[in-house]
This record gives sequence, structure tokens and C-alpha cells, in this order.
Amino acid sequence: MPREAATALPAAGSARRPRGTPLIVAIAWRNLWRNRRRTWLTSGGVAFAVFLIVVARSATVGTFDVMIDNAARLLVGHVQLQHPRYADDPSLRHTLQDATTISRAIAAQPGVAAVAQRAQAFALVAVGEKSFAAQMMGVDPDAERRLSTLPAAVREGRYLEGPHDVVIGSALARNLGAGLGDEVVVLGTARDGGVAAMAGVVVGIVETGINDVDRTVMQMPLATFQEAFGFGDEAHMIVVRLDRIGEVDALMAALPEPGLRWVTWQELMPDIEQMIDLKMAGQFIMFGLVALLVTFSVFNTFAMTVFERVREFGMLMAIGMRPHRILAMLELEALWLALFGVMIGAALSVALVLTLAQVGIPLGADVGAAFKTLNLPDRIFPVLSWPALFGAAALMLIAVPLAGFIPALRTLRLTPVTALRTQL
Amino acid sequence: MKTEGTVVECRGLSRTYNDEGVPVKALDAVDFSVTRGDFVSLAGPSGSGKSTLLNLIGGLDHPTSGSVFVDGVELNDLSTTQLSDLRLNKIGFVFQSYNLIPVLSARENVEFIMQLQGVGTSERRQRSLDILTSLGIGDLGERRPGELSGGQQQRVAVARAIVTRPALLLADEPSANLDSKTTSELLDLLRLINREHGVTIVTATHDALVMSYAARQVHLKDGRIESDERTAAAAA
Amino acid sequence: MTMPMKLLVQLGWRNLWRQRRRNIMLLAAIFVAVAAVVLTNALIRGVQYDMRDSAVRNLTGNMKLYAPGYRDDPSILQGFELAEGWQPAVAPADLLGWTQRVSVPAVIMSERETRGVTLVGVSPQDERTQSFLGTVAIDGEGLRDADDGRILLGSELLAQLSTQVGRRVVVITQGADGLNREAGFKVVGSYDAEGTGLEKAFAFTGRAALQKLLDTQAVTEVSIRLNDGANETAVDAAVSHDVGALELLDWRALEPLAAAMYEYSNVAILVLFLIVMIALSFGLVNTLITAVMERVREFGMLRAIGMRPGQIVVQVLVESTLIMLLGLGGGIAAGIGLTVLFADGIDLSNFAQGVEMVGLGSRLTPRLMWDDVVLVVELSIFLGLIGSGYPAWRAVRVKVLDALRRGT
Repeated sequence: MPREAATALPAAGSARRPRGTPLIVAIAWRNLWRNRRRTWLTSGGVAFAVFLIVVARSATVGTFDVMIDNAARLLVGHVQLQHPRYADDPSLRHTLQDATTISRAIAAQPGVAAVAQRAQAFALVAVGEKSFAAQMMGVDPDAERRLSTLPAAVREGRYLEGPHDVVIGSALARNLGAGLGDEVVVLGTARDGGVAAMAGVVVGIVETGINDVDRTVMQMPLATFQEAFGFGDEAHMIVVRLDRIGEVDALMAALPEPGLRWVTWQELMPDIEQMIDLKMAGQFIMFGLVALLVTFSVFNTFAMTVFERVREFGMLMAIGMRPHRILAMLELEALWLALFGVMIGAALSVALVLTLAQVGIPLGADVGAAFKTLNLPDRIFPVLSWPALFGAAALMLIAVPLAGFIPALRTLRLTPVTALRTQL
Repeated sequence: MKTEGTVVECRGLSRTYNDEGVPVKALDAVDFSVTRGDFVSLAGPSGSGKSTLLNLIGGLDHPTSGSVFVDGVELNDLSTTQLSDLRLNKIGFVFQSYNLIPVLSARENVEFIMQLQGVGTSERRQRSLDILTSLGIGDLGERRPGELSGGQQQRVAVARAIVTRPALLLADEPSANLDSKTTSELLDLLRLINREHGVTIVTATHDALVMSYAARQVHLKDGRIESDERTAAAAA
Repeated sequence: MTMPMKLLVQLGWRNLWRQRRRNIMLLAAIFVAVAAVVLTNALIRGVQYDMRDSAVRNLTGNMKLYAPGYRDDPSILQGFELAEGWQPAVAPADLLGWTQRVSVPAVIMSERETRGVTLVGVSPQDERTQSFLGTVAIDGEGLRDADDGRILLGSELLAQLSTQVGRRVVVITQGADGLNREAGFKVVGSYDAEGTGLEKAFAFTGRAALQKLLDTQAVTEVSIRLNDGANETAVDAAVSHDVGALELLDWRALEPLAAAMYEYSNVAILVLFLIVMIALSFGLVNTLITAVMERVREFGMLRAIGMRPGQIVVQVLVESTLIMLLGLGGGIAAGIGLTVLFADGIDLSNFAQGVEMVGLGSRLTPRLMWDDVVLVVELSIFLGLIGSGYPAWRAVRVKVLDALRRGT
């Protein structure tokens, strides 16, 4: 019972006090274990909050990383170099000169995984009697194989090799009634305003699962495109994929490229970035709610602790402890409690995240199939989120002592006589 | 309204406690009985077994061996719930302190036990007011225990214990938290209800003042009855 | 067993006020948790129905009829003709409306640019109940009727084509004989579908006018919209029984992503509720246990004067149920209040493209569902009883003697 333990405390504390540790810190820790069940429950709440934040954030960060990477790898890369006006007005005139030289310079930078030049234009594609509009892409097949997942998404046939090879999206092929080996004729407007015309043979049909791509894309070798549309050694964009998405800023800083414009994945895929923001906003609201509920429980724990120990506090004051020292002792108890809960929550969540990082979280057949079309993987591999871990720990280490402070303030109003006379 | 007969009958009653591995005989083969209408005090030093005997009679504790009959019913045969009902209907308790429900007023404390018995509202109210008035605290009915003095609280406890007209009133150290003046008043009260209402009273105490009011003084020592005698108080 | 409930409730109520501060905090925690759950449930439902509605309204309908080959080869060659006077086999109470469309791939060329789109021949009157076309904001004019031979483009497509309302565009598409038709269309207006992908993908003209251009009487699809609350599965079965060789697909099959997100929302509501309740339970159980433990003597005394063990259990349960009900009542009232407060919707335009990606409009409107509120009430009371189970068990396990000896 509290009273007996309290009288035993000072003796036990002074006998086995570690050197240099103020006694009050040890007293606070031992006080915590006078009501084991309550301490476990309260720190369990703290641990739950930490656990939830770390696991949820790690799972989403894992999802987002893969989502961004998948989307980036399909076509757009992590960052592109463009003519400054190309983003607003993707016309044939807004090109990069000496694209090959610039590409080589970029490829020489550290952290760059792949570099590819592209030129793009809309044109009319005809197969036999049928014709349809498509986005022509002049590409460097070898560079695309390194940079993009599109070459791997060839469902029928193969990817580009010879100068007259073309690959087309599956929906476009369906609309055109085109099959492998069919001759396609492209009719468009060249850079000088004249007619751009070329003929090619369908060697591959691509199915990415992304409707926009499958419906409109047609790729051909860059040289063929340049010839047909009246280009020299120029391209619309130089697409860069990095080893790590975080290296975008470093690359842009290393190669300022005056007169040109770096466009990052956030600008290239604003929908993905906003979806991430939206999801994060939702998560932070949930985290806030859980933290608030845990804080309520801490408040109650300390209200109960203070209530039960009023006589003990009276005794401590009677033997000469000042009220603010008692308050400090209670705050130390709160800090210990928070630290204990944070440790448990951190240990459990890190263990779970590291395990799941190996195994992956399957999403279930239906959702998995549907998520594929969103560039979402059908299995989530969480990535341990250090900011979430430290953020959650800091949040709890601040919130718990704050919540304990209000009930603990009651000790300042106690006088030894009234406290000792209090009946429980 | 005195009726002859035996209210309490204990046969070969033993109770052994296990004190950290060491068996302690609190009660050792005690035979003991109480006739209806008697006022008995169980006395003896701490650990003599008086409280144990009182608890066994009240069905709060189970004997290691032997048996207890209250009003002819053997307690060993009763389930937990039946024991609850026996206490509710046949036994009134007065403890040394803290024995009222803090959130209920004095009158409600008295009514509470009748409510458990299922007595109707108006009868409940009438009986609780009557009993509080007859014990001299009729005007304190709406106060909560925290607003009453120790002596007043004990009077309410006695009122609650006898309002259901139990066969037996058990009082464990009723004077422990009272000064001698208040104790005398409480004992006068107990004697009154013993004589006027014919309530059988058994009290465990080491207070000589309490003993002096009892008609029969039983002394226990080391779990056995040492002496059992009628006193002059019976006549007083 | 006799259970003097009135007495136990009265006792429980007064006991709540013995530890006013602590119970007010507990009440506040339940209140916040319940209010937040009610509001977020309504928001999740809002998202869920918004997603379904936009999936259904994006030319999908609750269900659609196609010729069997159309989905592989979306051309007029895969068209069909309905019998004279055909009506979908849907009870009038369930049917919001239906329409026939001609939907074919086409190339659109302005003076400067070329794009591929799906050209849809519609009856503008029918589309009012069918699709976003009935409500979408239009710059210029909308189509007049099925004979209107002008074209309505999405604003984004209009910009990509570098043309304007009132100018002409050339459309190339395949006719019923398999040969290409090339025709000039006047741009009657541009529609603004909040920057969605629809704007780039779909151009609209009058159905009869398009049929004339393609030399056909056939249509390529029939779209059916149902009223809210219609039993989709039952209607599905009835309609498919009636359409012969045609293929009937509901919105779940046509928009598998939206359907998956729709189902996911049902799970999300439960997961969120559980998370919040777990967070709440730590404080709840803690407080209830303490409320029992500090009254051990009192429970012992109650047992001694004849209260039965069952009555003790009920008394503890009554106390915790009372506090749960109080918090629950207040929390639900506040949650409903918040839902009403946000009834006009929460502006999500900062995330416009992101929400479009998951099929949402740019305003998030909560949708309060009575079933969800009932579920919250039921589960909360259930969890409250579980949470008080341990304290109640502790209370009844109190040994009368030990309890009475305490503090003596």
C-alpha cells in the first residue's frame, strides 16, 4: 500500500543510489512501480500512440516511395531538363540544343542512374483504313531500357531496335486495329510548318495499365523522329532517373544549366504529390486524435496518483520537502512514464516495421489489382520512418509531462496538516 | 416480544490461517451458542479469536472445520448468494468505522438495505424515519456521512442494522473510533434495542466499558473460550 | 435474481460525482473520441459516395449495355440497334433514367494541333439524369438536341488544340462501312470538368448527327442510372435477363478502381473506430479500475450487509455504462453538430489533382449515415462493457474480510 512504500522510500533510495544521479530521479522511477497495473496501462497508451504513428507512417512512406518511383520510372523520371517554355507550350520549337552533349554531362554526375533524351509531338497515325491521333515519342532505345519500365511492358513482340521499328500502346493498337508487323504511316506537322511523314513497322505492343499511356503513346527511335520532324541534334527533354529520389536537389545544384529549366517530379506529377499531401493530412489528424486521447488518460492517471498520495505528500512536507520539489518529483515520474512508454512503442514498432520490410504487407487480390492502375504496388514494403519515430517520441515526451502537470499543481496548495488529516 | 430459543449455535468451530506458510490457529474447536434476546460480549486480547468468531457467525469467513447455525440454518450449506441473503435478512452489522455508503444520505443509507430486500417506497421511508427518530437523529436524515460526527455515524449504522428487524446484531469493535461519552450513548442505545426490541446482540470488543453493558461476557484466549459468565449488568 | 436497478443506477450516478475531476476528464475523452469518430465516419462516407457518384456520372452509369465485341474494338462496327420501344427492365421507382450513345474513337485537328479523343454522340436531354454533362459548367453553349451537329470540347483539350469556341475543328473517324469520314465541326462550347482527365478524353456531339455522319442507325452503348437506394444486384439480374446477346456491365466492373476504393471505405471506417477506441481504452480501464480499487472497503461493507456478488458486478457495470452513455450522447450530438457545420463541404482545392486521382470532387462533403451512428453507439457500449469487465471482476473478487480489515 502507498503509505508503507512511501516511508520505505528514502532509506532504500539512499542505500542504492547510483553515483551522480539525483535521488529524486530514482524516487520518481520507483514511485512509478508502486501501482504496476496503472503504470503499464498508462505507458501502454503512450506506447500505442508511438507504435501507431511509426507503423502507419512507415507503411505510407513505403507506399509513397514505391508509388513515386513506379510513376517516375514509367516515363517521366525524377527530374527533367527542358526548354523554359516547353512545360506551358509543348510545341516543336521549344527544344534543347546539343542534347547529346548535355546528356553526357548529366550522366557523369554522381547518383544519376539513367539519362535519356526524348522528343515528342502529336501526329496522325494510320494503319490501313483506320487512323488515330497519337503522341509520337522519339527515344533512345538503349537509354530507355535503363531509365523506363515501358520497354519491359511490351506485351506482344519486342522493344525498339532498328530505325523503322515502332511500339504502340495497347488501346491505341485496338483503336487502330493494328497488330505486329503492320505498317504504320505517321502524318504530322514538321518544325518548319511543312508536312512530317514517316513509315514504320509495329514491332511491339505496350500495356502499362495506365490508360493515358496505352491510349496515346507511340515510340520510335529518336533519329527517325528527328529526321521526320526536321530536328537536328535536339530534343524536348532530357529525362533523369536518380539512385535516390532525395538527390534531385543536389543534381539541380550541380548543373544549373543557364537558359534551361529543371522540372522535378513534383511538378511533373502534381497529382501524386497532392495525393500524398492529402493522405498525410488525414493521418496527422488521426495521430493528433490518438495523442489527445492518450493525454487524457495520462491526466487521469496523475489526478488519481496525486489524490491517493496526499497523506504521503503531507508526510514529505512534514519532514521538510518543499512543495515545488514534490511537484518536480511528480513531473519526473511523468517523464519516466513517457520514456518507458516511448521505449516500448518504439521497440515494438521498429521490430514490426523491420519484419514487414522483409515480408511485405499484401493488399488483397481486389485492392491489389485496382491499386496497380494507380501505380501502387500490390504489396507494401514499409520503410522505417525515422522522422515519425523521433516525432512521436518527442510528442509524447512533451505531452505526458504537460498532462501530468495540471493535476500535480494540486500539491502546491497542500499544507502538511490538511494533507496528513485527509482520509482516503 | 422476547422469544426463547437458540439464535446462534457453533459446534467444534476451528479456523486456521496461513500466515506466510506458518499455520496459525485463530479458533480451536469452540462450542458456543447464543439464546434469543441475549446481549453477549466477546472479549480478549488481539489475536484471541474474538473477531474470527464474530466473522464466522456473520458468514463473512469460512471455518476450517466445525459448523455454524444461525436461526437453525447451517452456514456451510449456503452459496455465496445465499449467504448474502442471510446477512441481508437475518443479520445486522455495525463496524468500527467507515461503515456507511458515502454518497447516500443518512436516511438513504437506512433505506438502502430495505431497497435490497424489495420493500416498497412509502413503507421504506416511514420505517427509516421512525427508526432514525427513535435513535434521536431524526433531524439528521438528509445529511451525508461526511457531514455527521463519528457518534452520529454510528447511530445511523445501528439504525441501518436494526431497521430490518434482524434476528441478530453483530458489532465489531463498535467503540473503536469513539470517545467515552459517545461510547456510553451508543451502548445505552444498544441496551435499549436489546431490551425494547428484543434484538440479540453479539459484540467483539476489548473495551471494558462495552463489556460492562453486556449480560453475558465471554473471554477468549488463543482461540479457546477461557470464561463464560453472566454479569450483574444483565440486571442493571 | 432480484436486481434493484433503480437503486443501482442512483448509486452509480452519485458515485460518478465523487471523483468529479477524474470523471469529467474521462467523459471529455469519450466525448472527443466519439465526436471525432462520428465526424470522420461522415467524411469517409462522403468520400466514398462522392467517388461512386463521380465514377457513375463519368459516362459510366450504374450499368451499361454493350455489344460483346465493343470493349475490345471500340468502333461503330461493334454497334447494335435496340428494338422499337425497348425499355430497360427496371421498376419505375428504381429508374432514374437511361440513354443511348454512340461512342467512337476519333482524331480532332485544329489549324495547329492534332489530338485523339473519344467522340460521343448524345441526347443532351437524356444526359441530364445520366452524366456530368447535365450539370457541368459550360463556356459558350451546350448542345441543343440529338440533331445538333456541333461539337462540345473539354476546356483542356480546347487549350491543347490552341483553338476557341466558335472556331471549327476537323474530325476524322471510321464510318459504319469501315472507311474514314472527315468532317468539319463548329465548337459550340467547352466544358469544365474541374480539370479532370475527362476534358482531354471526351468530345460530345448530337447522337443523330453523328449517326448520320457514320451512316448508321446503330448505337454503341446504353447507359442506365438508378435512384439511390435501388438494389443494384436485383436490377442487374432483371436487366441482364432481358437484353439477349448484349453484354451488361455494372459500374463496379467498369470502374474497378472506384469499386475497390468504395469497399475499402467500409473497412477504413471500422479500422479508424478501433484505433480511436483502443487509444481511449487505456484511460478508461485505468480510471475504472482505480474507481474500484479505492473503494475496496466500501464493496466489502456492501457485501457484509447483504449485497449479492451479482449486484456488485451490476453496480460497477452501471457506473461505467453511465459514464459511457454520457460521453457517447454528448459525443454523438457534437459529431452530428460538426457534420451539419461542415455540411457545405470542406474545400480540398489545394489537393485538386490529388483528389481527382482518387475520383473525388474538390469539395469534401460529409454524409451522415444513421447506420454508422448506430454502429458507433453499439460498439462503444459493447467496448465499454468489456472495458469495465475487469474492474467489475476485481470488485466482486474483493474478500469481505480483507476489505473490512483495510485501514483499521
